Parts: sequence; C-alpha cells; structure tokens
Amino acid sequence: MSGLLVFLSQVVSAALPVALAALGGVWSERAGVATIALEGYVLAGAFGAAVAALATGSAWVAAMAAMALGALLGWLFATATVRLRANAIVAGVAVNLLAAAGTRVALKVLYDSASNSPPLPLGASSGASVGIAALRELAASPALWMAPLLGLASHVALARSVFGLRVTACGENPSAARSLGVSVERVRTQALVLGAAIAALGGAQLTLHQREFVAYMSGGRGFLALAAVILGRWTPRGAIVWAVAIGALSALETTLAGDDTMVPRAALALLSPAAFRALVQALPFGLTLLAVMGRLGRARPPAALS
Amino acid sequence: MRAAIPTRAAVVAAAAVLLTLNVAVWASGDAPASVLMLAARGAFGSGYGLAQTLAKATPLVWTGAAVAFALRARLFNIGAEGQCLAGVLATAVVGAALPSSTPWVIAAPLCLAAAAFGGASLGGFAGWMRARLGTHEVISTLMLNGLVAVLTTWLYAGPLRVGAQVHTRPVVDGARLSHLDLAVHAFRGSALNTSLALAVIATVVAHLYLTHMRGGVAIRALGSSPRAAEALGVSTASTTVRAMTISGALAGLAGTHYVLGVKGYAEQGLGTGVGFTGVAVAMLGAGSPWAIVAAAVLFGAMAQGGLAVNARVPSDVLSVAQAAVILAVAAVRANSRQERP
Amino acid sequence: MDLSLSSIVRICGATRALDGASLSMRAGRVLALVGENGAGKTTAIHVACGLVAPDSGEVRAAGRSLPPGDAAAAIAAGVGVVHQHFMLVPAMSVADNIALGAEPRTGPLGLFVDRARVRREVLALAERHALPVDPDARVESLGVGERQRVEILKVLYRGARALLLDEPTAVLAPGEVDALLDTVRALAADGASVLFVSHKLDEVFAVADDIVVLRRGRVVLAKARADTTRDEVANAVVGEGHAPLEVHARAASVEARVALELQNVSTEGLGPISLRVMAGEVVGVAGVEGNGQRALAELIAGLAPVRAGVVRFDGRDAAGEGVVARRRAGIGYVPEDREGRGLVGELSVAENVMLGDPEVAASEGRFDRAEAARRAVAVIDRYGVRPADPWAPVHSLSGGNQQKVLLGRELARSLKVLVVAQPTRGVDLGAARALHEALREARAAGVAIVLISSELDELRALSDRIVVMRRGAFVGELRPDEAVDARLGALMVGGS
Repeated sequence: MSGLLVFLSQVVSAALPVALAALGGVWSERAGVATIALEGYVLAGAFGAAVAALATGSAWVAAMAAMALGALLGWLFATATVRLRANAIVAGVAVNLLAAAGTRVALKVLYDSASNSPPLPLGASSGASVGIAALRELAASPALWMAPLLGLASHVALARSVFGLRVTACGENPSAARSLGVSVERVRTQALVLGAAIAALGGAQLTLHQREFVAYMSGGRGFLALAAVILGRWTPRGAIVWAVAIGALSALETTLAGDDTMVPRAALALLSPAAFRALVQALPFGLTLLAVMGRLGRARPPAALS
Repeated sequence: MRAAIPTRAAVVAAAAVLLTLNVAVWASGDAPASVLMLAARGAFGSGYGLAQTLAKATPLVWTGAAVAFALRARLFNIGAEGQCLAGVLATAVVGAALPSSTPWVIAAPLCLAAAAFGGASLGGFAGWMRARLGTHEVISTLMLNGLVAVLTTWLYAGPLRVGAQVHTRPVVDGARLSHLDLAVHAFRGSALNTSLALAVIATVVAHLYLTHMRGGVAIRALGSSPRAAEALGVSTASTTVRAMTISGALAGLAGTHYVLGVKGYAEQGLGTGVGFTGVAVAMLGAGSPWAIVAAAVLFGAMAQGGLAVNARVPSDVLSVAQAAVILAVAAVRANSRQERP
Repeated sequence: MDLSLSSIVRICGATRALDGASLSMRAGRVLALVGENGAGKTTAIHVACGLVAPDSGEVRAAGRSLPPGDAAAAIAAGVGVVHQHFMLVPAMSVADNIALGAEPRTGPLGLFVDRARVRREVLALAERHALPVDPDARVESLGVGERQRVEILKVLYRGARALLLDEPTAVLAPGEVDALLDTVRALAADGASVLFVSHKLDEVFAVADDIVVLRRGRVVLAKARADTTRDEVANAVVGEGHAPLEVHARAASVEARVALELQNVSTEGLGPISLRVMAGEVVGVAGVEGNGQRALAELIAGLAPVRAGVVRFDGRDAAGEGVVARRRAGIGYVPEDREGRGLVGELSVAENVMLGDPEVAASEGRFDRAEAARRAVAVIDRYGVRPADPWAPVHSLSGGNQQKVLLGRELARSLKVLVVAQPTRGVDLGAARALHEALREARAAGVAIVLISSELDELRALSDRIVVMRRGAFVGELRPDEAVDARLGALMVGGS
C-alpha cells in the first residue's frame, strides 16, 4: 500500500513539471509560434522559485516568482519572434541558452556556487520513501493545486473565451484575424507570455520538490513537454494526459532503477533491466515520431505554425 | 547587396556581445573593460589559449556547416545535436572494433566514414519523413535528438562500458587524429587536432558542392524557389533527402573531434550542446564558408575567454552574451529579408 | 447606404492603378464594376474599404468623408468587403468565424464569447437574407458556395450597409452563381448598396442596376443597365476604337504534322478540352484571366495531372509523363509567374540557363560552370540581356531581362512544343519586340507554340489562329484577321 502511494506520488511529481510546460506550450503553439523555448522557461522558473523561496521561505511566493520570471523570458521571446519577426526556432535556441547560462551566472553571483543553490528553507525532503510523508510533501506544493486549475482554465479559455478564440484564429489564419481588426501581434505576445509563465511554474515544482536549484535541472523536460503537446494534438486536455503518461513512464523508470526485480519477467527474457529502462525513457520520443509520421491518427498542427 | 547582410549581422553581433558583457560584468561588480581584455587575452593572447579557442571552435565548424547546408534547401536541421551524438557513437564503435594493428590509412577513413554515416542516417531519415510524409523536420529532428540521447546514455553506461570506466573501449591508435601541438610547439597541452582542418576543408567542399555539382545546384534551386525547381524537373523529394543526409553527415563528423581527436573514446556528454550552438553559428555565418568558420571561432573564443575570466566573473557570462548574439542576429536577418523585393 | 469614390488616384510603383476614377454606389442599387485584370478594380475596393490610402481623391460614406487608409473607420461607417480570396479560419466553426473580432461578451468580466447570442444572430441574419448556413459546422467542411455565404454574413454581422464583392462568382459553380445573384438582389432590395465586380456580362446584366467599366485605372463607361448593351460594355472592356492591326504575313511554316494533340483532356479547373497544334503553328489563347489558362499551360508542361483524356506529342501518348520526361521530349514552358515558377531568383543567369537542360536538372554529376557560362553568354548575346553578366543573380535583373533569360533558356533547347504565358507582361517596348521576334523565329523553325496572352494585339500579331477560353473551356476559335476586339470581347466575357 505504502509502495503504491510512493509510486503514485512519484508519478504526480514527475508529471507536474512536464504537464505545466506542455500546457504553456499549448498556449504558444496554438497562437502559431513554434516553441522549443519551453526548456528555458522550465529552467528559469526553477531558478526563480529557488531565489524567492530562499528569500521568503514561502512555497507560494516561490511559485509566483517562477511565473514572473517565466513571463519575462516569454516576453523577450515574443519580442524577438512576434515584433522583430526572428525565426522562432533560432530564438528558442537562444532563450534556452540564455536560461541555462543566465541561471548559472546568477547562481554564482547570488550564492557563490557553480552548480546548486543552498537548500530551500521548506523543511528537509523526506526522500519520499514513506507513503504518507510523500503525499503530505506533495500536497504542500503550489503546483499540485495550480496545475489542475490552470489546465481546466486553459481548456475553458481556449474553447470559450474571447481571448481563446482570437488565439486560435491567430494560430490558424493570422491574415483572416488581421482583416477583422484583431491585432495578431498583441494576441500572440499575450499568449506567449502566458504560456511561458505556466511553463515556468513547472520549473518551480522541480525546485520545490528537490528542495534546491541545480544547474541544468530542467534536464530535457521542455522537449518532453513538446512531445506531449504534439501527442495531445495541441489541446490542454491531450497535453496533460500525455504529460501524465510521460510522468508515469519516468516514475516507472525511477522505480526500476532502484529495484531491478520490478522489471517484468517477460521483458527480461529479451532485454537487460537497463535496456528496458532506456526503452521506457525513449517511448515519448518514439511515440511522438510515430504521431507526426501520421501513424497514430491525424496530428494536425495549427496551420500558421512554421 | 548580399554582402551587406553578413556585415550588418557582424556589427550587430559585436554590439550585442559588448552590451551584454558590460551589463553582466558590471552587475557582478567588476570593471567591464578589464574583464573583457582578460577574456580576449585568454582566448587569443597565448599559443595555448588560441589553440584551445580553435579546439572549442572545431565541433562548431562541423555543426555550423551542417545547419547552414540544410538551410540552403530551406530546411531547418535542429537535429545537428542528435546527429553529432550519433557520430560520436558510430566512430567510437567502429574505431574500437578494428584490429589494433590497423594502419591509419585504413582506420582513419573508416572512422571518419562511420561518424558521417551516424549523422547522415538520422538526417536522411528526417529528410525522408519530410519528403514522403510531410513531417516538419524541426519536430522530427527534435524527437530524434531525444531518442539518440537516451540510446547513447544507456549504451555508455551499459553495453559499451569498459569495466569500471564510464566510457567506451578506446579506438585503435591508427584512427587517432594528430594533435597539432606536435607541429606547433606553442599549442602544447591543447586539445586542438586535425579535425579542425578536416572541418574547414569539409565546409569549403560543402560550399563548392552547392555550386559545382548538379545535386548541389538543385538544393539551392529548391531552397530559393521550390516551384521553379519543380518546373525545371528537379525532384523535390530526393533533393530534400540529399540535403538532410549531407547536413547530417557534417554534424556527425563533429564526433571525430571528440573521439578521434581529444578523448580516444566516447562517453556520456561528449558533444552535448554543440548541435544547438551550430544553429547559431549557421545563423551568423550563412552564405559563406569563411563566415561559418569565423562565427565558430567567435563562439569558441567566447567559451575559452569565459574560462579565462572565471576567477573574476562567472564564465557563463560569455554564454549569456552568445544568447544575445543569436537573438540580435536572428532579428536583423528577419528584417533584412523583408527589405528584399 | 451611399458610398462614393471621387477622382481617386492611386499610384503603385510606375503605374497608376487608379487614374482619377470616380464611382458612386447608391442605397438599394447594385453597381457592377467591370474590367480586365489590372484595370484597377481590386485597387478601387481596397481604397473604398480603407485598406490602402489613395494618392488623391476622396471616399464618402453616407455623405460623410472617410479618413483615407483607415480600415477600422470604414468598417465602423458600414463598409464591408468580401475578398476574392476568402479570409476564413478553416478549423473554426461558422459562428466563430463570423463573430471573430466583434465577439459579443458574456460571463465574469466579459471573458467569454456569448455563443448563444452569436448563434441566434447568425441564424436570424441567415434567415433574413436567405443565406442558409449551419452556425455549428466547421468551415473546413464547407463547400466554396457555403464559405462565401459565411463571408457575406461576416460582413452583414458587422452591420455593413455598403457591400463590396470582389469577383464573388469567380470561385463558384454555375448553380451557386444563380443563388449568389439572388442574394445580391435581395441585399439591395433590403436597402444596402452593393458593388459587384465581375468579368462576366451575363451575370452583370442579370444583377446590376448600374454598370461602370474600368480600363487602365480610368472609368471608360458609366451607365444604367437599361441604357447600355452587352456589345457596348464588351467593347469598353477591351478598348474600342483600336486601329485594326496590321496582321503579319504568315510564313508558310505550318507543317502538316500534329505536334501537340489534346483530346477531351481535363484537370483541376480545366476541360474537358480538345486542341491540336501543328508543327510551326502558333495558337493564341485569349480569355479573361482565371478562366483555365494556367491549368492548360501546366497540363501541357507536365505539372498538372491529366485527370482524363489523351495527350499526344508527335503522335506519342504522353498523358502519364511527368515534367522531366516532357522536357526531355522537347516541351518548353514559359510560365506567367516569371520568378516563382519560371526562374530561380537567387541563382545566377548561367545556373538558370543550365538548369533548363533536363539532363542537368534531373541527374547527378558535375555542374559544368564553364559550359553554363557559355550557354548563358549565348542567350545574353542573342537576346541582348542586360547586365551582360552570366553570374548576376536573376532576381537582380529587370522584368524584361528576366523574361529574355527565361524565353532564351527554353528556346536554347531543340523544342517541339512551347507553351508561353504572358510573354511581354511588364516588359518594355524594346524587349517586347525582341521577345516577339524570338517567338516568330521559333515558329519558323517548326516549333508548335501555344501562346496565352491577355494582350489582344500580341495574339493577333503572332497567332495563326486564336481560341478563346472561358470557364475552363474553349468557347470559340477565330482567324487573326477576324479577331476584332468586339468579337473577341464578346466571346471572352460572354456577351451576345
């Protein structure tokens, strides 16, 4: 029972950063801007949360600070791509580099460390080895409560709000939107900033979970989130479902890493435990490739996406 | 008029570097001018520093040339990252599998071909997906990056590991590329090796291919006006696959710098990041092989200069400046394109 | 609502797209605006709806002057446009497309689209104007006619009382045209003023109260429908009073050999049509643009799939052959879209000329730059291309010089059939003369030429016979000496 609780809490804490990053990705890609900058948003959010938590000791302030820093980075990305019309892929590479290097510079300047922040004053991590403790820890995380809320709000907003309607129009046919007096630049900028803030909240979850910031701690979650966006067909619901699936795979992988006896006996006949874990890790990328190859039903991106 | 764009890009790039550095250094409580001098001296001021700058530039020449090559067909090879990792893997596996007595005339070409093949297979696959299934190469190559990263991590930690080491078996001596400090005494101790010469030659050859071979002219025709190329009988599908395959091969060859030049084996983390930086190099140096080499050297110098100033300001300040360069140049390029009729 | 344009001048580059044109739309009436492509019709609409500012002149809505170039003010004043190319978001519903940008709001802070209200209002509008649509359907599932109804509803939803319809029938099937004409009449009966742009006189005479003909940016005819005739309008469109052109004495170059034969061929937007062109013959194709000429050219060049019918070159069945096989067999193509379809802009003259050789474009091996330069210099010398630099990028050349390179590239091969579209458009007089001379020589050398042009003088001067296209079919054939403007015009626009 305790083992199951631990596993579930691992699934949730692995899924949350990816789910939030994917949700942010849905907003910006639905507005018609390709967003490989998710990785940078997650990392910036993780750092912003660490700084705020160290300064105030509050997880909620940390979450807000993460979103603010993400929004700032998103605004920079939007200025480059929407206002100055820089290529979104190149600008995304730059934002990722900026986040990776910028957080390291700030680590050095603020905490005189090249690799990690001091431990956050939020109580020691239990290591999530005891079921109830793991759950209690999770419950203290703002991201846990905000993620479903943001997911639901995004779903409703994209489907029913005036803003959501305009974002969709800008992502599908910007010249039609423009011909009706919609400011495509403004709508896209708003969507990108919003998306970046949500993705950065995913980064806050990483920091709050690990109780410290570690350089490069986003660890490719932004790209996994992009996979979830595509697999989820650019909808909040789909992206979150796939992010949870990816989180489950990742938790499975972690569990297997700790205990090879959990690898299914049937798989062991063919693969070593390490190979099986690699296979599990590779699944999100492989599935996404299949999806965009048209082998998993029709995955149609927003028409204005480059 | 075509020359005006690189010049403008260079000016903007320089301004971005200076501005970001000044702000960042000033923010960390040091004097910008003296730190900048220190960085420049670290990157160019000594034989060792210069050699290290060039060594850091070597993989960037490969990946920069790779991304720039695909761009000529208007294809965005963001997969240089994974193609480079595949090149590292392939050349390490082949180099270690050869009998230890293999002479260099056989070993070196085989290992180079393996690196090229590793990258080319990934690039070519993405090209095929684009040509036959309409899959955008940005998405497919990003996902392939992820797959290769998982695959190599597993291989280096598991099946290819030698005993307690965390790297693969060393490649045969015949496959090793010479370090240039053998020839130039001032370079002593640096990792600079002949992979740089190969990279520069390959960049020039790739450029000549685009102008002196039918397949290359077809690539440029497709990139410039796809509809005119179609009307002339240029095959869109095979030209797309060709451009991505060659681009992938160039990115894969970056692996030779690490495996045959520096380390002698493959390990986790070798080549990480150079694919993405290659995008920046290509952006800055598009259009001319020498501009690609110059842009790679600029980024190499920033990395090396960053190490030199590390005692006073964090070396990552230089990477922040790199990001600023990329953003500034991307914006300039977008807006100079608009001016064109 | 009345809407008037008075003495509008709009200069685009070197040409006057509108040169002192005035028109006046009146409430309850349909004004038909007729003219060839490039006559200034679309520019007039763009000026009227504030998309562009005129260089001089004034737009007045309901008697009040509109600020020039202010689209929002025009919309607010009740001006609505249905563009020729639909501005719809295919992935969204009909109701969302109609409401976009003018959404009624509901819910907390007015965050949400009041879809119930949109739906209600759309249904009411649809009912009132007899424009049946399903507000919940996705636009991508709709046919062209339904999409056009959505566009009209979009304009009405914003309260437009002056409607500008830019060639609304160009995209419609015949059955849909009748329904649209009914809609236009009903809108006028409802008190709106309607501007109806069309090339087609049967439609114009079926729907219009007033008719204005534009030619080269000027109004050349403005009358009530009751006071004019189809012949008068057709003449005004193509330009009456041309001195009958001297028709060149034709060399006896037409051979008894059929070089190109199309039998009941059809493709997207074309046919079924039949056509035979003999070796050494020039067949001119006349017609208002957008009546299938491009599909005809691309079909012969091997760039449009043959859906049905027989295509023969020199008696050999070639329906299944692609562009490479056709070019190898001696088919040449000078498309109307010079830089997009004909030439590779960023490549040099030499590279473009060399790529014209299908053996080079579609095969491996060395690209012989010396040979490319030689061939380019031959074209440059032969046609007087300036600058005389084989390595100049093609996009740096003027339109006339680009056209010389393009035609020269095709004629440098031993051709059997050549399709040429608009060879002298945007080309200065000297270059046009050289291009015509090149075409005559090709004919004398036994090339079968299909010449598509909107310049009637050009067709008469070069063709052995002229066929007229309308709605993707051949509607008549004339000898050059009988192809006077009036007869051509009547066939082109469907006059009596």
